[in-house]
Amino acid sequence: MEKIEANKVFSKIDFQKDIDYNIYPRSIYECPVCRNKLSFNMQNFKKYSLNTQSIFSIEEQKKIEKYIHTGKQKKPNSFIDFYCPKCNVPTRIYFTAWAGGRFTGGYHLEFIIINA
Amino acid sequence: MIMTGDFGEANKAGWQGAAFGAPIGGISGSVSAYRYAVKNDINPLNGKYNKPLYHYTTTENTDIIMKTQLGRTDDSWSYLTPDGNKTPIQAQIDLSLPQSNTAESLILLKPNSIYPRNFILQRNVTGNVYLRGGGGYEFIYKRTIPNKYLIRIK
Repeated sequence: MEKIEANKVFSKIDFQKDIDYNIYPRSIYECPVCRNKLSFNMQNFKKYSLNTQSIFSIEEQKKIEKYIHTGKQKKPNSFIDFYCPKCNVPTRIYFTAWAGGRFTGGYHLEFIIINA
Repeated sequence: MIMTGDFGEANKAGWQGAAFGAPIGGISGSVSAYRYAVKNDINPLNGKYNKPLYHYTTTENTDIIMKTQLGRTDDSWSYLTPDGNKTPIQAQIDLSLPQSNTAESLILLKPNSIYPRNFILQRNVTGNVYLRGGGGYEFIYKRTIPNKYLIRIK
């Protein structure tokens, strides 16, 4: 189990609605295990905003939760789970969904947990 | 002034004067602070803004706000308005909201929740922002607002 800060594996860690609304920028994720690249856009994070569902087995989820609870960092309010398509390592992206301003909001990618 | 020629007596007289003046000054200060608070919609008991304020946004944003907070960090600006009776289209025009803000959802900020010292602007909304007319009134508050102070109206 390893925690990696988002800025080390993603090319973009901040998505903001009023800035990124019309241009749909992507963030390229590079798997720290196999270097396989995956592309994420704002819609992916929107779909999993405040998500509580996981595709992992109960055991894998428990391991990740336990690992997170040992750290002092506050747990972000959203996550996306996936298996790396190449090396199959279970990966969880933690991100914070927020809203405010005149009308804005967005998603800030915090860190990932890989169960390698 | 008392001219006794005695330093001890003079000192004593001075302290008596101070003892007499301090309560008067204290009362006078308290009365003007109270008047200032009432005039500026501030609760004199806790120093918080005592009128309801509203935030127009989308349903999606309201879902996030009601589960987290309004704003991202303490440097965030929250836009609030005292008028909670606007239709979505009227809110979009009066508050110069961007096109992506459909204003179909409304959040109430409870009175006595926030300190007015964190208001950085209170003004009539200028027009021609996002091609809107403006003219509504807005408060810009520089802090996040925890969801315990917020009520979803629609």
